[in-house]
Amino acid sequence: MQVGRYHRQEIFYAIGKEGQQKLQQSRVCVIGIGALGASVANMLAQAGVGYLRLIDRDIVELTNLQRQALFTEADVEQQLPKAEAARMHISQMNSEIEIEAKIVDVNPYNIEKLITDVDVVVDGLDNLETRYLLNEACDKHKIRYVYGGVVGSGGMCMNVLPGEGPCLECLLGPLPEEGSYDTCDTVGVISPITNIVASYEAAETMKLLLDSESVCRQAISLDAWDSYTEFFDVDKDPECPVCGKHQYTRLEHRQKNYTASLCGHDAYQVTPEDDGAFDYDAVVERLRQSGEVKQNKFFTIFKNEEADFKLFPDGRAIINKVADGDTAREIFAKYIDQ
Amino acid sequence: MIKIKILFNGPVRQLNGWKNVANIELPDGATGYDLCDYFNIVPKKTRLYGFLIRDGKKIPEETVLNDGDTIKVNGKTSGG
Repeated sequence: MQVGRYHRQEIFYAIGKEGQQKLQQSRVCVIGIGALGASVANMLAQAGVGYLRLIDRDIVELTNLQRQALFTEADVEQQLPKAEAARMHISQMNSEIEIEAKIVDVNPYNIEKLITDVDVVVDGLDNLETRYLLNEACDKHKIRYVYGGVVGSGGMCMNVLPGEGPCLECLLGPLPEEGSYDTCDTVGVISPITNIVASYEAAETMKLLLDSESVCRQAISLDAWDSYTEFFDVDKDPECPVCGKHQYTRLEHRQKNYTASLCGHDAYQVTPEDDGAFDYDAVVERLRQSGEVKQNKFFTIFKNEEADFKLFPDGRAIINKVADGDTAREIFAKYIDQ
Repeated sequence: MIKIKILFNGPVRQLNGWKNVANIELPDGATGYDLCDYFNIVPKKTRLYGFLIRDGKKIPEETVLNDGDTIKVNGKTSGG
């Protein structure tokens, strides 16, 4: 008798056939498809989670291959967006589930739309700013969120369960100033820790989807190089602006042409307000009058003596070789947001 | 004086001259802030520093430390 794809999970005492069906009816959004997000997405697809929304703004780069297991040299060569490359590779492993790739920057304009129709959100992000934004959005909409982060050989993981326990801000305190903390771009990161943290995130996501009594109520701190693992308690802070007072300052901070520096890339990303008025094809046609334009189905590269940027169909642009956000916004206004 | 053992794992060990364990003495009544001060850590400002853990619990820096405590200095994990 031939056994099914999920047989080994169905005979696992904590899942069973009923649990497997529940996983197949579940919806998960993974934000950030780098080392953590790609691994988590892969494991959740293997587990048969029925719907995965994969969100990432970046393109696969050569430096990603050291730790981002899903991607290949061909993806780098073709400059594939991570979300799309991950969707493609995961679909080849499990064609029975639905996978949606969103090549967008997560920001105050779109985050609520992206997460409100899923059961659990998983953190694969590469920066604290977006994590704090996600924390607010999940608290506001009472969506369960699995935090995971890595740097160097260390990592952390914690379930954020709105209304039940501490949130990300209770764990990490107020958002540190940009540039006041180290990132994978400044102190590096090794592949084993990303896989360990991703495994915890995937397991916690499965437990949350199954409403398991084994859902971890503690935070986890790990270090792969120092062979260290600690589970620790975090108190919910009644004064926490997010889960204590439900003040969502980042979510409500919507500026015209939202700008973010892309760490380690000598580039700034400019995201216009999503008012539905952006006409990608018209802008690309106009750009052809001002410089060299190269296009694939995911983005357009524009270059002239003054400007060098990638423009995406959602209207955002990554402005290369600029020293600050103001210059990036000026270029954006001159060439894109006319 | 009280004796405290401090653990620094991963990149955070940079705050302790790249060593991952320190044994220090602090005056009676010392708090997490005094511990931070000993290592020139300014909470919320110093790169790498995140928070302190004692006996399996995150503690605020104003917590009074006890003789024989083992304190873990935890970093900020911002990457993914």
